[in-house]
Amino acid sequence: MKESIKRRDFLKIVGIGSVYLVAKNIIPGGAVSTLLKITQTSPTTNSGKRWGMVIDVGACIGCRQCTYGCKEENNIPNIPAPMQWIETFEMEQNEPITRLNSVPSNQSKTSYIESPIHGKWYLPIACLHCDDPPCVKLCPTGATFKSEDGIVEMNYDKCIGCRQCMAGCPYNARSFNWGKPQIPQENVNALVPVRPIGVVEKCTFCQHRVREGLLTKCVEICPVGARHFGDLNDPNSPPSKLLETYISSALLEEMNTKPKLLYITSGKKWFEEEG
Amino acid sequence: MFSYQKNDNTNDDIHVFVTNLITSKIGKKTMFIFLLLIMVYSIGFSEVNAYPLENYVGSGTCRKCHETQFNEWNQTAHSRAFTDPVFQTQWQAQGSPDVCLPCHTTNFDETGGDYQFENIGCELCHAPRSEYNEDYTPASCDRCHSVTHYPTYTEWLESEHSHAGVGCDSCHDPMTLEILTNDPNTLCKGCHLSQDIEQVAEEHGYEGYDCLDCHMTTSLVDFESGTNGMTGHTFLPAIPSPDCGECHTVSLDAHTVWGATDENCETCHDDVYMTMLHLLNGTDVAMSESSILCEQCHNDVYYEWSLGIHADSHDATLVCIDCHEPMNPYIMMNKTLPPVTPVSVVIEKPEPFISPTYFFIAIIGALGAAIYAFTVRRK
Amino acid sequence: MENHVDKILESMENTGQAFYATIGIFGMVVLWGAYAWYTQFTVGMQATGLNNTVMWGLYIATFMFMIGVSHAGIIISTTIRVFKLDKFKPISRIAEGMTLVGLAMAVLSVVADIGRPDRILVLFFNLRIGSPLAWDLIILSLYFASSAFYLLVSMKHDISLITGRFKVRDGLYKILGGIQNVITPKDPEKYENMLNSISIVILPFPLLDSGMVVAFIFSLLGARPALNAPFIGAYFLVLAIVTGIAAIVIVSMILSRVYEWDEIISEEVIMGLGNYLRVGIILILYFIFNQHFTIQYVSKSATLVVSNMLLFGSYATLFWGMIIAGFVVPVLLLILPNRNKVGVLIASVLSILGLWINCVLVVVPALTFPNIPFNWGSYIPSWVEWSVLAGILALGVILYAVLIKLIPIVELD
Repeated sequence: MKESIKRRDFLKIVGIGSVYLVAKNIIPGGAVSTLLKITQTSPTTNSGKRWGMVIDVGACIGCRQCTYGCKEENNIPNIPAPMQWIETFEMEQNEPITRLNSVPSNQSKTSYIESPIHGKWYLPIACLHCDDPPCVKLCPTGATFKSEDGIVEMNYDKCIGCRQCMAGCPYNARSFNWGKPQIPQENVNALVPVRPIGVVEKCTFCQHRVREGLLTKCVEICPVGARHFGDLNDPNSPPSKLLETYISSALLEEMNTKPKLLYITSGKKWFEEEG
Repeated sequence: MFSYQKNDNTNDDIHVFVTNLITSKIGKKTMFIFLLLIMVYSIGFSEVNAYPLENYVGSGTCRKCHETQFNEWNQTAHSRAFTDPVFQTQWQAQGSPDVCLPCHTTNFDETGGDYQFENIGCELCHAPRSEYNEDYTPASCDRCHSVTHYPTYTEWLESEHSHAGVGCDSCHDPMTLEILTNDPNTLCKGCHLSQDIEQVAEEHGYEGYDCLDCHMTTSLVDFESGTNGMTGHTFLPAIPSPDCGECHTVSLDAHTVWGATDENCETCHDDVYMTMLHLLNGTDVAMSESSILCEQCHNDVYYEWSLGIHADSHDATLVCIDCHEPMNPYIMMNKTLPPVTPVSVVIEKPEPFISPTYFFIAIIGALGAAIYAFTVRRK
Repeated sequence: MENHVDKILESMENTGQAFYATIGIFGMVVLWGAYAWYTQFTVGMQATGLNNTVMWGLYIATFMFMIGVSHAGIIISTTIRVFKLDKFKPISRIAEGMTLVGLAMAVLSVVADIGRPDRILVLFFNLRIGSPLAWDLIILSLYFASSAFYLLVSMKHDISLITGRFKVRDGLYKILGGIQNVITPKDPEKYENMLNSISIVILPFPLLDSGMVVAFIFSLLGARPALNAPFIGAYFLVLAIVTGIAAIVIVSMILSRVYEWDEIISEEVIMGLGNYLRVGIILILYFIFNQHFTIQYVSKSATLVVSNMLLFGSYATLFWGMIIAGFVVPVLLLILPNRNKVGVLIASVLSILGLWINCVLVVVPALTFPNIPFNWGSYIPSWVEWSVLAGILALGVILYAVLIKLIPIVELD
């Protein structure tokens, strides 16, 4: 009996001790409270702003200047494979933003060469920086997180490349570095990290620019002014005013992701109105 | 009086007399001398004095020695100036007035109202045969071509060509009357080398337009209504302020600030030298500097562009119209960049040092052999 | 029975030509797989056939499959202890070994899939508990630990029997015996109670593992409506259990044939497993039918296109081949009145191939046809993926062969 009590105690001690050791090592100290939250805080992001973007698909002419401007600004490589963070789709008149269909792999909505063509509209998609991002909820290391000012950021040092976030993004907005990206030294923008091999990357709302008071590169370079960026907490910023005036829609509203990149169709049109 | 009845009437005195005279010796000598004189006279005076001075011989005669030129002349309108039915109809409709004939016939005699040869023969331009000269200098074309219904010479006098020494034979072959080259554009460009006109010609050269479509307006004379003819040799464009829309089908969708009229075109374009531009204040602007034209109204976008934040603006050689349609500037003239990842992109995949298929076939073979050896054979 | 003990211990005593031939051939495959993995590690994931649209492929499918294989141990030990079906005792430890090896292979498949395997430690130190992959990690670790613990505890009698019999491995048995003596009670009845309690603790693991965390990797993807469905958990659970049963039939039959254990692993055992297999496959067919019938009747277009492609489109040959050869034919074989062990073996082989293809068809089509007007993706696995998976499978075979030599793979009763 004594032996069995001793054994039972021993087992209890060992069991509890091992659970404690495992828990101590797996759960980083001080972060227990943020385990289930998705937001990570830091001094630079605690500015009280909430960044958002509005794209006017009536004005977009599908010229891809935003794509290439973003590539230049954010060190997006062409070697080993050409990548992009913004992808522009050529849509038909009867494909409203609320009902988008897939196309077979022998056709392509993104390989158009001439634009704008009358009768089609153009839809640029990048990370929508959702308020309830499925990608952040799925990330096992916390390499992607939502900062306080609303940008869904990437920490390339923590990313293990499991691609769960890519599987979870309803907009396919994320890209993976399938090979080691190589950029010619003269094209590297020193403000943006060049990503290592095997990590996921996506649009960052040009966090290195907007936190210094500039606009994102795509907004600046758009030749028709179809993109508008600003602080949604500020009622006078361009996106706030546009969202007040025009009906906006999110892509795939039913996903409940609450995106911060919204679409309107208004304002300048590149084709002639009837009459 | 004389009868030649054969009768034996020897009382025919004159008959006997003449016969006796002829057959006499003296008679024979006289006849001989008389015959000689006739021969000399006919030979001597036949060539030289066959025609009187001031006489025209007709083109057919010239032909005997100038066959080539005659054939060339025969193809021209000069050779049908009178006999052509068009002339005949018009001339007879007006009662066949004499006033037409000095130009439409050869050697028209004003006092008598009579002409010697029909059509404009060799001798109307070149002197009549009697004034035959060695250098064939023809008369000036203005002798006929300055009438009100065919005022080519008059027009030419008005034009710059007459001051520049560009005469009829600069463009026309004097004999065949044809233009020296088949292509009027080449003819004009032989002298008019300036860039502007080249550009205009180029702009208008294709699709069937050439220099003379605008710069030589001809119209037929209408004698009934008294309208004079035009042969276009002033080389001025016929319509002093053209209706742009007659030739140009540009729709000024976005640039109809002053209405969709010709004045709209002339806000920026010169109406004569259409590829020359000018500002609102009249300052000339070359086509390569067209951006400052746009700046007059689109100064906000121009400012952005000058700061380098308007699209591809770090390329300093670009002007507005490199991206924007000039007439409808909302539209970018297909400056769409190519897709980043075409559908058919193939990424280089690493190759193994030996084919995996063969490797696995070998493994499966080895396994099969092992299974055979250790199970079947063991039994 | 003594002759049984000797017969069983034959498997441990001789490391004859067959053993070395096995190690040799599968070792070559492991080396080839390592070469392929090295290529993938240096060149990057572009060595595989994956791309931005279809970002998961054979590796994740094989992970799902191996988790299923690893359920063999729990099934058998549960059946023996909870349902008191002692006839399955001979295959109990075979199944336990398969659990451990299967879990190892599953983990290796996942590690092959991640883009930065050199950052595994980052994962451990930064684990975000809100993520399904984190839950996966925790549950799988617990599963492995508890299965190993159960194996260790249940081997006490056998270890005591073989201690002293072998020279080289004796040290290992002494250590194991020492641990076992500390952990387990001496009283046989209490010992049996202990084993029963442990197996009850392990019992919910298939549910937690396949039914929940592995299923959550897919069913929590709102972006893939074909997978974002409540039935996925139950479906994966049934799939995993059937995979486990089929795997254990195959392994038992192979061992029985190699070591001539026909009396030990009797026809009864195999036929019993065959019965379970039959029920399981019918359940799987029911799940598949329900899923596609519901989608085809009415569903969102993004879901419908996946179902259409599986039933009629580009994946149709694979899908119907799997249904017929992998499920319907085995069921028929298992329904036949005069079936025998060979019939069950054939049914198991066919169904395990069908189950692997099913795993691929769960993962790949849902990714190929995304939600919004992205061009449909395409995925053709490259030689690197096939080679790495072959290497992992071969490694599993080698580990299992070594395990056979280390512990008595059949209980010495």
